Amino acid sequence: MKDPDDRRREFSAEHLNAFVDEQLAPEEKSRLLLSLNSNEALSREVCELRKVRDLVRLAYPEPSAVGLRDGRHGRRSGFSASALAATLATLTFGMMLGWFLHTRVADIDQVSQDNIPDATAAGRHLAGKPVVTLAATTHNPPRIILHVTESDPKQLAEMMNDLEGLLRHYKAQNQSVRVEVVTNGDGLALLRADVTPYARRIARLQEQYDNLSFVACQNTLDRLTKEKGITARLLPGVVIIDSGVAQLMRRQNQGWAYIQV
Amino acid sequence: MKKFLAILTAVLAIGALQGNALAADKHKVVYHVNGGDEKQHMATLRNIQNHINAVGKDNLDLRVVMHGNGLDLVQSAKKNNDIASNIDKLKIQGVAFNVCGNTLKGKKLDAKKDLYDVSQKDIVPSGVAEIAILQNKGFAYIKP
Repeated sequence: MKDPDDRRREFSAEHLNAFVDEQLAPEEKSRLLLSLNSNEALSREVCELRKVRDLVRLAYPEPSAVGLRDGRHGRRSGFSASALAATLATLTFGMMLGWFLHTRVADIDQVSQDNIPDATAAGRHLAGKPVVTLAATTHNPPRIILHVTESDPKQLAEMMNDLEGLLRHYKAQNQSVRVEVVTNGDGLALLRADVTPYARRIARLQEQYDNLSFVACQNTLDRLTKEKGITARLLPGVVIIDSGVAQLMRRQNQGWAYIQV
Repeated sequence: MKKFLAILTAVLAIGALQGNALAADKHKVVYHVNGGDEKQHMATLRNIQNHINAVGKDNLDLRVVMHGNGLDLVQSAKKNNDIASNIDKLKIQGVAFNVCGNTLKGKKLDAKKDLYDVSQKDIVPSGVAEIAILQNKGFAYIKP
């Protein structure tokens, strides 16, 4: 004797669906009914299908009622009037919903348009706190790339101050932030152990902030080797990526803010 | 009935599109200034004027964010009339000039005394953070 699972497979899914929809020929139907009595898995499956059918009917009372009630004659006209009306109504509803949602989004946008700059203005009186809180509630935690391309000591000094000021600013707001310092070209000097004036300061920042990373460009490293014969040694913890410029693109595509320092 | 529904749908669709067009915001742009000499600052102000000429002042929400040595722009305007008058002209056209509070503290500057036409409402807590916040709000970033 076959085990129940095998017997369940005697009937294909189409078969069962046809049965539930009462579309089976009489002899097929009685064969299935017979199996149903002795096979629990099968009857459970049929039960499930019936439930789905009922749910579908419940959700779409109009069209199925039309389909069931109307005979061959009424069917055509019934379909074009009611179904078309239902389709159009659904479409219209969808559009209204879209329009409504859109307006709401526009409203929210307007609110932030109106409020944040004003809040920025007002906030500047109040040491700026509302600005950042508002921005924090409406946007993801800020992620910022600082792009360093120059090795001019004055610019590097200012960049380091910007970086530390930024990290301190968000820490003071108790807000999470991610900062990535991307260096390429001459900017790589910032992260080269042999030339950077900021080895200790960078080490301290890395220790202090785990939301901060320093990135060096492989292309620049290669170019240094090829053109100047320098094998640059990088500071500990520096991440090397294929191309600094590509990284800037990727990050901006991911929604990072870009700031050239 | 069918006709009515078709027309209703069309009207709604047009309405939705129109709403979209109206809600389409102004161009939002942030100019980043963190250094440069007077010549470069004049060039930056010219860039901005050209930007306004190209797009129209009513279609622009344009902010200049200065920090670090970029504050030289509003510092030199105290003495340099060309820079000052260009700033005035841009402000009339709706451009906002924001300076970094951290830099003011760091350089021990008094906004009223040392900077040209900078009031309390023009000071942002952190210039760099402000640029990031603006970009999050859809501002395009331009570093002249």
